[in-house]
Amino acid sequence: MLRLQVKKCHICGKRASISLTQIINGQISELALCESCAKEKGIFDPQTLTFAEKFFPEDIKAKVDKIVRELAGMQQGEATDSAKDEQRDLLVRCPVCQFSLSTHRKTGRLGCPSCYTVFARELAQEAGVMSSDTTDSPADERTELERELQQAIEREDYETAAVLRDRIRQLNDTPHP
Amino acid sequence: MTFEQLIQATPPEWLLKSSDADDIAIVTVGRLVRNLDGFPFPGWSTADDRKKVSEQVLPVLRQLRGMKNAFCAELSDLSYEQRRLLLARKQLTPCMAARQDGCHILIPPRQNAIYMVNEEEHLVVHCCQRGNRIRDILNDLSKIAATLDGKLNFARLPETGNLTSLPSEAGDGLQLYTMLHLPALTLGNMMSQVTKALEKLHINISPCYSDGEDDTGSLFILYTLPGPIDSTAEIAGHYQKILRQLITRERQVRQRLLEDPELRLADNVARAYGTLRHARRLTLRETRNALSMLRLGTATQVLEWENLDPTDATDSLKELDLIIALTSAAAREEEEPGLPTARATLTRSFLKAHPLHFAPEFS
Repeated sequence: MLRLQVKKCHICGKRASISLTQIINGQISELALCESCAKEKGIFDPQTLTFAEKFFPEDIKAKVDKIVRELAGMQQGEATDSAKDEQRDLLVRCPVCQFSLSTHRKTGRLGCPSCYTVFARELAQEAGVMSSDTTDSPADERTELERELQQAIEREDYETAAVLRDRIRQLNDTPHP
Repeated sequence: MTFEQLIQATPPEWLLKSSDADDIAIVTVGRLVRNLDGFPFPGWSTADDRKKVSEQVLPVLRQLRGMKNAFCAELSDLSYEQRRLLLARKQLTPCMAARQDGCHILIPPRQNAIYMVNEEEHLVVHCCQRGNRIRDILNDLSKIAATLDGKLNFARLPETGNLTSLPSEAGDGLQLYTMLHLPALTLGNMMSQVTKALEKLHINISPCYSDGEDDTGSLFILYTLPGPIDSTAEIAGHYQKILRQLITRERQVRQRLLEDPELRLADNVARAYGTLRHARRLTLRETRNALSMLRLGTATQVLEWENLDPTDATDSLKELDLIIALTSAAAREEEEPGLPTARATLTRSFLKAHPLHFAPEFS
């Protein structure tokens, strides 16, 4: 069950533009978000929720449930990520549209065409990880991934490191010809 | 053109007619995406941003050839039922159906294209053709792109191409989708193999109406991912080749099923025909699955029409399918208790007007 109410945003305390209540396995979960925090958490267009709920109720329930469960942890994680990014001298927010690097990492999306320039370094890194997926020889690919993993650990980029680690595990699990 | 005029006008050829050869490739859609420079992408923009984008894009779209008397609406002006009808006619994407202020849809009177402003990207154009007429789609889209590129300031980088809200989709800004009817591959439990094989070829396939338990109606969407800059011709060639191979494979499996001494194909078709011919209540899932088997039965000549030419019959089945989709779109199952009965009445009337008999070897 999902219904709309007006409350205070659970993240920033401002007046919430949307409040969602759902009952999962008999437990009530509530989430109130203002428009900017809703965007930050991947609910891009709160005004469409009533309609989206009619079309994709399961998707919305799953998304809200995930946000409710992860809210506290995510806030802590984001603060840590931002601090690390600042240390690494990366721009963490697009000055044109205010889209943040952490939102890009969560959703894979960008806020505006200028984000391509602002987050160019991050995008180049992602493109590097993706292109390594298409390396022909598994042995070459493993060596390259291990090198990138080492670099990611050195710069304390644990998110990229986790992706690289999983890819190396996949390669190790693949039977050799 | 008003919404009522759009719905009451003769449906476009791609929506009603079948492909020349058979009923396997039902409809192909080319999706062209562009974003304006200097504005947030629609998923990150405010209603004010979206309005400004619409103010720039709509006048240019209205000047395009064939747009006189086009249907144009802001999504917030369309009711829930109107959006469901457009979705069932494949003239609106699910993403666009959930949009509100500042998001517009334009459909020219010929209904050969759909223009969506502020969908996932600022401008999304869908060009539709029956069957697998990819070349026609690419011609139509390249003409539209050439006209628009000269009139609007689109966001581009020389090395990246057209910029999109998902960086992995930046590039040529073009995708191809084909709706395929693959009942033989489904019956033969071969779809998971096909999916894995296609993944290796960088082409994707997914069920069209999957409800989580079964592939409803054996309908699938084959699609390309957006390609990097200057890759359209190469990707389209690759896609067309794969599409032809998939159609050939479906035909081969149909032939193999026909030769099965256990008559499993004929049994499935007969059960589906019996359901559609005599049922008094039909769920949407049941109807789609039975219609899929009926199509397979007529395409393989297990069933033969008594008073219809096979091509007209295939078109009539597509029309029946559309009517079922539109009827179901008008209301939700749980809100409209009469829907299963209405569906059964529709299919019974259709089969009464167009009777079928089993071919002698299957009777």
